Amino acid sequence: MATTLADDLTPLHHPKTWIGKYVWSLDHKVIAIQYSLTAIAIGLVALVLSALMRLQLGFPDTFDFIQPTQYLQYVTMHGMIMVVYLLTALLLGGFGNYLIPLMVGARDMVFPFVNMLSYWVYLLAVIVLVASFFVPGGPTGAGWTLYPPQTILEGTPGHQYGIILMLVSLALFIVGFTMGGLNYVTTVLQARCKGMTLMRMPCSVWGIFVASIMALLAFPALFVAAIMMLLDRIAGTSFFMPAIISMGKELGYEGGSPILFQHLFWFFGHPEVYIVALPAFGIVSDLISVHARKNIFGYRMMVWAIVIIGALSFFVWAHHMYVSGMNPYFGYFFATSTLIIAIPTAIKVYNWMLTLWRGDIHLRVPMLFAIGFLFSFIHGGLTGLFLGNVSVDVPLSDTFFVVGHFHMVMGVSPILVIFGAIYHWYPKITGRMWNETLGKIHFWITFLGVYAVYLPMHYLGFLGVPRRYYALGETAFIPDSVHLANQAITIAALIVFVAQMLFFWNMFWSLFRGPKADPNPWGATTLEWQTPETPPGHGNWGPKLPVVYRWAYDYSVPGAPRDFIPQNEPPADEQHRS
Amino acid sequence: MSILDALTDKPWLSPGIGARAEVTEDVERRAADAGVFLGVFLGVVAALFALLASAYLMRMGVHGPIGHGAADWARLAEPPLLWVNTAVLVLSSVALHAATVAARKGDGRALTTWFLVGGLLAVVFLAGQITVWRQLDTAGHFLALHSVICTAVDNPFAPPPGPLISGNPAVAFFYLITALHGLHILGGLVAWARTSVRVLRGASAAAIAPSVRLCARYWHFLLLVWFVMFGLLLMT
Repeated sequence: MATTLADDLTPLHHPKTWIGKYVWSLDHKVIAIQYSLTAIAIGLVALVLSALMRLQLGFPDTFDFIQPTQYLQYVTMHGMIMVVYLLTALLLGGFGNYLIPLMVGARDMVFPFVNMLSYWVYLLAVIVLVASFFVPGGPTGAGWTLYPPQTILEGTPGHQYGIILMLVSLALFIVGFTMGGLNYVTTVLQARCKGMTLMRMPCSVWGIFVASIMALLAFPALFVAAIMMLLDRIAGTSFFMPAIISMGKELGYEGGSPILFQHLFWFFGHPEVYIVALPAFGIVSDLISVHARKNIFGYRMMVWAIVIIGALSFFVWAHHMYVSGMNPYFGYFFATSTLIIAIPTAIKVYNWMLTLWRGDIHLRVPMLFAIGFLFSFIHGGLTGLFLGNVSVDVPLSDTFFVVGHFHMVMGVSPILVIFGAIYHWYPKITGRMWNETLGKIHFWITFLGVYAVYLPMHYLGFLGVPRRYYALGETAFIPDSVHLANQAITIAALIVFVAQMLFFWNMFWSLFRGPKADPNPWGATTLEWQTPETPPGHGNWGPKLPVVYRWAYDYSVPGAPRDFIPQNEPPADEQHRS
Repeated sequence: MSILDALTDKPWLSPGIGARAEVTEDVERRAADAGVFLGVFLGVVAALFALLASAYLMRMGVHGPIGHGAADWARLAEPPLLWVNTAVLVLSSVALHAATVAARKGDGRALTTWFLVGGLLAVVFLAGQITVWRQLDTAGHFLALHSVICTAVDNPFAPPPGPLISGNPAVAFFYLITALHGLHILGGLVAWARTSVRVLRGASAAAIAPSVRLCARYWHFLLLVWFVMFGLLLMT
């Protein structure tokens, strides 16, 4: 078949030195690993913070170094790091960078230099964020939502410098992400190889693609909010700050609207949930399909559901604000839109289960994590239906029920998918295989552990135990069982914490000592497993770009010699012709 | 293939190469990539300014139920110089449009002239905007820029000596909106300068045309943004 492909013309930048190859790299795979390692490193900081919080909650009056100030700082930094600097950066910057070009059959992102810049600005944002731990007064303790006016008032930890660094860091993160996000979207639209129609893309690419578009449109809201709050803090404007008397002193502010900040924040904040969830949805679809040796059930519905969820998520933000003094009629609207979003989400959940139904399920570690995700996501999704209703949300607002809900749905669920995805693609990324037994132990401790941590929190929430409190003290409505539950949660959390070290050890050890991996150990159809080299070389595809002849889910096709047909395998009649 | 056809495709039914066209010449591919890249970026900029505009309206208090009535909002009398600046920005856009027309006709001289004029007019626009800031400053709506910078140099984290932008939120929004718009123009000027260097080094009209087209598109878009924001500022 004589087709001229422009692939050989694409001028690739070939680095000569070690630094050019691994530090200032333009290669999407190296940038992906840089993004991932940075995100995981800062995520570890957030993990340690959560352990410290749990120590305080489980065993109050035991640790002298945890005072209310520190506790609030832990809460704030844990939340912000996990949501923005870990999950968003890892799923889009890490997996987006690694998977998009490989899965759509491109040599690299469309604009590699901008892509590299994206990582370095992200790193700068992380450094600024970390710096806030070391300035006088420490990092901000305003809660990850940074609600004014308390955020910049005296009395809130880190109101001096911490908050400034936090806002600057967020603005930098958004600038960096925008550079990356533009690349992801453009690469999916422009750089797909021959034969890769939109509807032949794996669900992973769809999830990352739609999430990138959403992030590009939602992050400006946070950007505007951060800049305006920064001006309120350093230039004395009153965008968000009302007239206020603080500690007996009248401040210069007048007339600002704290609710305006909440609207801007959640206009970013709610899509953010799906920015984290959609890539996880996409990736988990692929994991389930590959390891159940079945095509994903209802592929088109899965794609449409991703798109519809993405669009709807821009119309639900105020369900985070039912108790903010908003007009109740807005609550009616936002409760309705919130419940509507459950429809496409439920379609996805049913389709995952129907993909498993009578599949040839291989319970390997990535599959265990994918199935674990189904549990935690259904769990967190159902409690979301409770909280989406104004009348149920109002009494549960700011209780541990909310903590349990959102950790299940957007903490544990994406993290389980991320673990599954790392186990799944590790052999391709490093060329080596990890230890199966360690992986299984890691899964079971993590999966059962997170249930031991978050399930009791729902019960605490029903009792009315408030979130973000340093200590509960002597409170009439809080029975002793709450303290017992808190201790149990803390012990479970610490066990989960330690179990993660198994994962890191497994990954680290396998990097050097793991057995050499097969180029396609799972028998997957998608393009990244068909690269001529493992790990894929610079330019991914050797001299010729792949050509795609079929969709991404030809598993267990009747009559086929193997139980999968790679996307770039020509149909029988074309094979004769060529 | 329309987007609707694409999304209703049944990919499992039809193995084969499919309808995706042959990959075209490299130069055109890059230009098309850059076009999509810019298009998506303009979407981001649109979102940014739309959000800024809605924040502006909410802070003004036009939406009683979701915002708070703002008693402290005082109408700002925009300096007349803004009209001149607007005219300059229009001319800048017109010049860049003329440059794209020249590029299409392959007229290298006209392209160079119009392209350089367009960018320089944008520089004039920025200078005009800074003059407006100074006029507002003299009118008592002060923006203590040097005070900010001086304090920042002495001690980057010291609290400000006093409010640096006078209390009226209309003024603060004015500074914020014009600053963000100006920064976007400045970013455009970076792209413009890079292309100008290529133009002055004698790149052919055909080679430079895609970049000129992209610059023009960006300019027109920022002009549109300015019209909307200026209208908003004038009406309130």
